[in-house]
Amino acid sequence: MNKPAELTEEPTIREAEVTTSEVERVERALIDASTRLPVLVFYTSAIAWLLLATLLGCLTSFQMHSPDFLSGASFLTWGRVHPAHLNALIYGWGSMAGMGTAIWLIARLCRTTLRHPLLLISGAAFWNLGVLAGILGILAGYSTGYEWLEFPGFAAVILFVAYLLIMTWTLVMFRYRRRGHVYITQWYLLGAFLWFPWLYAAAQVMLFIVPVQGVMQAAVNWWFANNLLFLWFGSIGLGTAYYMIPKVIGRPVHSYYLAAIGFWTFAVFFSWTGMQRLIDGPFPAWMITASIAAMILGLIPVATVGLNHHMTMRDHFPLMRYSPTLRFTVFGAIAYTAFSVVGVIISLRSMARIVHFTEASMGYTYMGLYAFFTMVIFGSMYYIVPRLVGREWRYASLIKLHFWGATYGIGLMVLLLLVGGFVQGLSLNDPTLPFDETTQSVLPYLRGRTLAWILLSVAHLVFAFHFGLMLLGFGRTASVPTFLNPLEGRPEGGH
Amino acid sequence: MSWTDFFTSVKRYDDNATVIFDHAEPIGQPTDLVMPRKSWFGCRLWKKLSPARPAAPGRPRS
Repeated sequence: MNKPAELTEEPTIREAEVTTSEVERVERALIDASTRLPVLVFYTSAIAWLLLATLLGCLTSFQMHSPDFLSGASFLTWGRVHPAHLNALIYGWGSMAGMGTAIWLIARLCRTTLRHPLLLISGAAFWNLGVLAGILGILAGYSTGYEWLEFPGFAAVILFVAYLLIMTWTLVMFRYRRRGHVYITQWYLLGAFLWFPWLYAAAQVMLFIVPVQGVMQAAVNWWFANNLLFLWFGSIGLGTAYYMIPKVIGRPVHSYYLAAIGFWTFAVFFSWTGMQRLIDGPFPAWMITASIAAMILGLIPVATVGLNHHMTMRDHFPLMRYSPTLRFTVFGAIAYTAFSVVGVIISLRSMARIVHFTEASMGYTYMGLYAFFTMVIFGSMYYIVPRLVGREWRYASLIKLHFWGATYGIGLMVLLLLVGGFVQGLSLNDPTLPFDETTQSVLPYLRGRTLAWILLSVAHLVFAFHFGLMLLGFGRTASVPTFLNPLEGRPEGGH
Repeated sequence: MSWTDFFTSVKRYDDNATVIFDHAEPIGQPTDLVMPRKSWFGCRLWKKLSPARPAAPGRPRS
């Protein structure tokens, strides 16, 4: 008797599910369409800055072991090219790509379309103008001399105005979100958007507008640089990983509370760091000790995030082979743990006395800025760009080339700089060695770093070319499943 | 409360899941398994030698 009723009800339920699913897809498509132009503007600008930063990085690396190279032109000397490279990487590539990803993620997670995108585009234009003015200023010899704050004053003002435009619009999107529950990614991204103006404004005021006296300038400078790495890039990177990993593998984050503990300890402990870079400097001992303690306590958020990501990924690691987003993001997430552990090790007084003024410091910076943050952002771009342009990445081989070029490049660079820095530090601490011999001891590592930069250059050029194909509409137009799946007998052209 | 109950309660799958998963992209459906199962530049040898895997669900168009 019940059978006919079941038969009549079943199609009705299915139709309802299909309808809900279709509505959600349309809603998602509308959100993506609203963010398309601003996010692509951010990404395109970021990739242009990445290529410039790569060129300058190769140049600085080559000049480290061949100092006469291009030494005839003052604007191409190491003292100008090196800060220009780092600032292009930090403010040009990292910040622009990170903000592009953050805007898309916030719109998606708030389930709200982006209204008046021209405001964000004008923010991106101003930011580009600020970075361009800053880099030209550095190359022209107007650097301020403060680490990661080398942009001249006029460029800093433009950057800050641009940032306020971008941040305001991001907060407006969050204010008008549709759902009540705030996802972990949103915590980190909102934190990043609120921490950056605090860091940047505090550093600008305390160093240039109402400058603090004497050695305290160094303290402010390193507090800013270290916190920019953790609270700005770290937050965006972790927030992105917390979205991409569960979304790609189709499995919710392992523990919500673990994520909450990770976030709040991250916010509390890492904002105290920075002074550990000034060990044995003319500072009160408590300042440096507080930063060292904060770095050690920072292992709590690192462990919780690492554990949460690992437990979420458990049994799903083989999927990395099939997802470009997942392989970049998981690499970045693992690099975050390694970066934090290395940070603690080189912050300990006994170790800092060896590696303090050596290349190990640069190796640590590249670990955070590239091995962790940049790799996570590459992963997010592989996920987001196809959804914005409505096409798939054209060549799987180019994705692999990009991944392995970046992996071997940054792996080699970090390894050489850390080991080379340690060797250099031991030589510097040996009073029987003449100074030129200590310099000779690090030369092989510096030459190896140039090789690493060549690998990274290849990876970046490949990625920029692939991204350009997507922008110009040469992406793949395959329907579901999106890329190639030979086992299902779908067409395989294009490789 | 047993340890198992405690660990289950701290997961709060639902709250997280409703934000990033929905009917169109439900839990259990990977969304970005787009890389083909073949080696560099179309080399098929690796594919022939390796065991078959379940078909990737692919990414829904949105």
